Amino acid sequence: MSLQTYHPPQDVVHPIVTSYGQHSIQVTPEGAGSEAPLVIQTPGEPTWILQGSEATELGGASGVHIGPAPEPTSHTISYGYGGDPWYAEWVDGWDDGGMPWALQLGLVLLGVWLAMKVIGLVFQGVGAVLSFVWSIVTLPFRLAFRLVRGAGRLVFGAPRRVARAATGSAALLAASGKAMGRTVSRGYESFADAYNRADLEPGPALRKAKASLLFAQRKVEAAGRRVGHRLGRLGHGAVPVGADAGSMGGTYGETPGFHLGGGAEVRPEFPGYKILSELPRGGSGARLYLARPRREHARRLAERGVDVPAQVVIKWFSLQAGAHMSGILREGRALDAAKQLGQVVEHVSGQDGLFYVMPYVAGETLDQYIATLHGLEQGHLAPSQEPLRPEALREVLHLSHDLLAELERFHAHGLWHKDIKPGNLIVHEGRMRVVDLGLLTPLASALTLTTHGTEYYRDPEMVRLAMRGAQVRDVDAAKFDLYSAGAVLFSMLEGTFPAHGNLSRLTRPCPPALGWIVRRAMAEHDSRYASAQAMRADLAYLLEHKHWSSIKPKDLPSWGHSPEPVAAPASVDPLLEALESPSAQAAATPPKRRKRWGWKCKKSRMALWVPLVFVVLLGLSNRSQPRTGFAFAQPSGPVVEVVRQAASSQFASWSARNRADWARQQVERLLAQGPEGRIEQVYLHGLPQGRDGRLMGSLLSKTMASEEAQALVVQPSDPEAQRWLPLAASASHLLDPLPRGEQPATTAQIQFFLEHPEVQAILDLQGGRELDAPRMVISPLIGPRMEQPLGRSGQ
Amino acid sequence: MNPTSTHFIRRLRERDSEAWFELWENFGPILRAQLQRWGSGRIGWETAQDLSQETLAALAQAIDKHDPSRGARFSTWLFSIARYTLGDEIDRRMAIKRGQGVRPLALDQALDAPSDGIQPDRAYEQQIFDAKIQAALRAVERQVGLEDFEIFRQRVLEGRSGLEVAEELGLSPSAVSRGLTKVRDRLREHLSAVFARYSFTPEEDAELERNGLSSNPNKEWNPTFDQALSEIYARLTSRS
Repeated sequence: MSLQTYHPPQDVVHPIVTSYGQHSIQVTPEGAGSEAPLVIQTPGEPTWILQGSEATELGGASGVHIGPAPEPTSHTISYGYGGDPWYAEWVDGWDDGGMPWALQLGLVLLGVWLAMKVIGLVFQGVGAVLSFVWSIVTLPFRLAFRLVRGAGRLVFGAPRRVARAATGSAALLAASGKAMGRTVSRGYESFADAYNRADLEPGPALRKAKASLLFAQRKVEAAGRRVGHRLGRLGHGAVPVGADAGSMGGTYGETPGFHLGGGAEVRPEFPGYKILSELPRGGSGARLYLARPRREHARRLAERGVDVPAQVVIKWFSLQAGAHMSGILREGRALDAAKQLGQVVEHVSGQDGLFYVMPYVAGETLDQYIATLHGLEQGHLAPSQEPLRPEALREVLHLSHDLLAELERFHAHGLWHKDIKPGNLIVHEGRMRVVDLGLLTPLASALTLTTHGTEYYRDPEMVRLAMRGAQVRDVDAAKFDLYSAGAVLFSMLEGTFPAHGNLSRLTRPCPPALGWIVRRAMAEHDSRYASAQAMRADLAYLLEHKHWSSIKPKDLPSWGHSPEPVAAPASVDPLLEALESPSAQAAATPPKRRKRWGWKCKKSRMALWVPLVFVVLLGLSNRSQPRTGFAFAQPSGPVVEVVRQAASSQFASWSARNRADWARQQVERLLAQGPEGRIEQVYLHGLPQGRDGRLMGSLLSKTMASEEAQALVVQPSDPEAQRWLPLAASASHLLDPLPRGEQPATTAQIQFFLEHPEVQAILDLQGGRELDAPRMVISPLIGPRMEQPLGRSGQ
Repeated sequence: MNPTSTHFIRRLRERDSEAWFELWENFGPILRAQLQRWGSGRIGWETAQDLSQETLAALAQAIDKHDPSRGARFSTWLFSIARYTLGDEIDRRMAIKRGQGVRPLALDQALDAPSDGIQPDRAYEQQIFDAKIQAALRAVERQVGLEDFEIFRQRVLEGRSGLEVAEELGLSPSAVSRGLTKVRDRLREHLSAVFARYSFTPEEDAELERNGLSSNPNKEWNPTFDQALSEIYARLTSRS
């Protein structure tokens, strides 16, 4: 018979009846009448076995341990017997003294942990012993190996060390390893990007270049390891300048627009863009980067309706990175203009400067194209005197036509590029594009002309007018671009720049009509093409003819038509567009056809377009109202006179559009004479005499508005100028004379000026808005201000 | 000094901006080249550019004290001022290096001071002469029409025959001849005016005649005139 032990209160739940009064317990297990005996453990009492409904006293020596039990603290007993079920509540505190299960589990885990620890210590000890034994055993072998390796290095390493010292590569690495490492890294990244993602065909030259870069990279890494310790960790390593820079330059040269720039420079971060490489810097102090918009950023821009190109050029102006305030201001104005042309993806201004993003134009610069065309890339110092092949000449013609079409577009938007030169022109797949809009200027700008631009491609007449202090809107600045276009065409034909302006000699044989186009584009201002349209018409005429090289200058459309009406303005006016429509064009037929139509037809057509021109004039004058602030509610007498002249027979040979343009110019000239259009030129007073005065003037001119000579017109008698006198005074502390050649002003000084509330108010960097307010302008050292040369001012 | 020079000097003294610009346009490039040559290794291109402006600024100071009785040539006068400006710049740099700041000589003293041995050489004098020719050519180009100047350019400056020019431009020989005569006559006038303006001594005045560019509008002199001009133009355009 087996005994089943119940441990209250876990097992015997109910019904349990206890009776402490007589120190006896009477229990009937669940299911009374069961055959199984029950052992009842009670403290200090005999053990009872219950079987069925009978209880048997076993006594204390039954083999069943009767442990001590706590003294019951309370008890409630009520029971019944004889067919009724037992019921009761167990007494609190009853315990058989056994260990709780949680504690038991904890003890088991502790035991396991200790056991493992002991085993680990044992293994560790064994391992240490084995290692010691192994090192003892292999010691002779290792000593022998080191001896042999040392001897080998001694014998074979000496010549290599001598060679390394001779080339200086190790020293160069040690000196500028980190910076050069970045250069290689960037170069490789740029190249890889151009190779893998740009619209370039992976031709043999590119494959070779890539291999060359990889080789250079490995070589540099190896050099870094040889030099030792930290340099070896540079990853991409560095380029030994003396040894590899040349070949690397050639390699990078095949990557469009990549510049092998050296030097340890901080690489800026542009949120939303991944920089691929740095491009050659312009003269404005800005840095240019080729970058790729990140996907998320491109998506956000696209949601705003911006056309996001695959690759962009970021132009970055930072005072910390050496940009000057004058450059930032100028760029701000250009930025505003470039937006009109859809050339700006976005722009961001910050504490330290600004950057803006433009679409990247792939291809080679015209400089490179010219070098290839004239065999200069083959190491020849001077262009060959052989005539250009007919196909090459025709390509030159096409490219020039593209350039003029671009200029026509600029001028039609009322903009003047101001820096047309081969370095700012990109040739790709036989097409030419204009880039670098840093000097872009509105043709109607009230700014004084400046001498910015590039010598030999800049119209000398522009310099002359700038020296006289002419304002942009008072001159036909579009013609300056035409001079540059002529100089560019000269360069394409000759392989070199026109060193003597229009007196430069065309030494290589070229078709007479093409030479004539060059001469006319670079001619004196009044004899020059009147518009990009006129110059493009001449080029188009040549392109239309198969045997164009035999065409004479007198056959060109422009021959004998000087002066011509000015460049066409923006055709944004629906009425003007209507004039340009085929029907209107048909109405404004050239003189030859008109002869057949006779006088009546001419009169009727005139009756048609005169009112149109008049309405256009009203529209244009209203458009110019915000700029000049000149109220123009009703046409005044002179304006009516202009329209009458435009309608007169003396303009009979002009197209309707050209008549409208001429009339518009006349009206704008009238408007410019209004009180708001007048900006007086004044000089900055109080500069000391002598060298300090000159230095201060020079500093001022370089730092602030620079050569633009837009003077803060400080005529004490001028009430408008009085507003700006405090600004001039606050700027005067910037004029600490600095030695020539040093940075013209500290960043802090420029920053101060930039942050000046009045400067902020008028300059409006964020929007790059064209200003009508008087500007800070400094007298240049020579020129129209010569009557008050620096050092003598104030006298 | 001839009356034209005197008049020009007066314009400079009166701060006539046109006169100053002429001076700058015609002789600025030579000053830059000369300054770069002297300062080779010590100053860069941009400094030379600045100094050429300073030369004219210094000239503006000196013009009031210019004494024609000293008998200096125009070219020497420019030369001295450019030398002074460069010397001043070098002295200033040295003074900064040494922590001193003493200017050795005032400008008018420098002009009167005995030469330190460096005199205008033949190449410099030739450049000044060529610059005067170029100034006259530019003035004519501004004055006559493009067609006429192109005839003159091809016929005289580039030495082609009249028939070739007529063929190339698609004109009649008589039109070429008329255009040529017109431009040549104007050029003679401008050459005389330019040389008179930029000559301080009779010797400089006579340079035109000495070089075969007679101001006499005689047909017999035309071939010599054209030949001389062609050679000067070739020399001028070969220099960049």
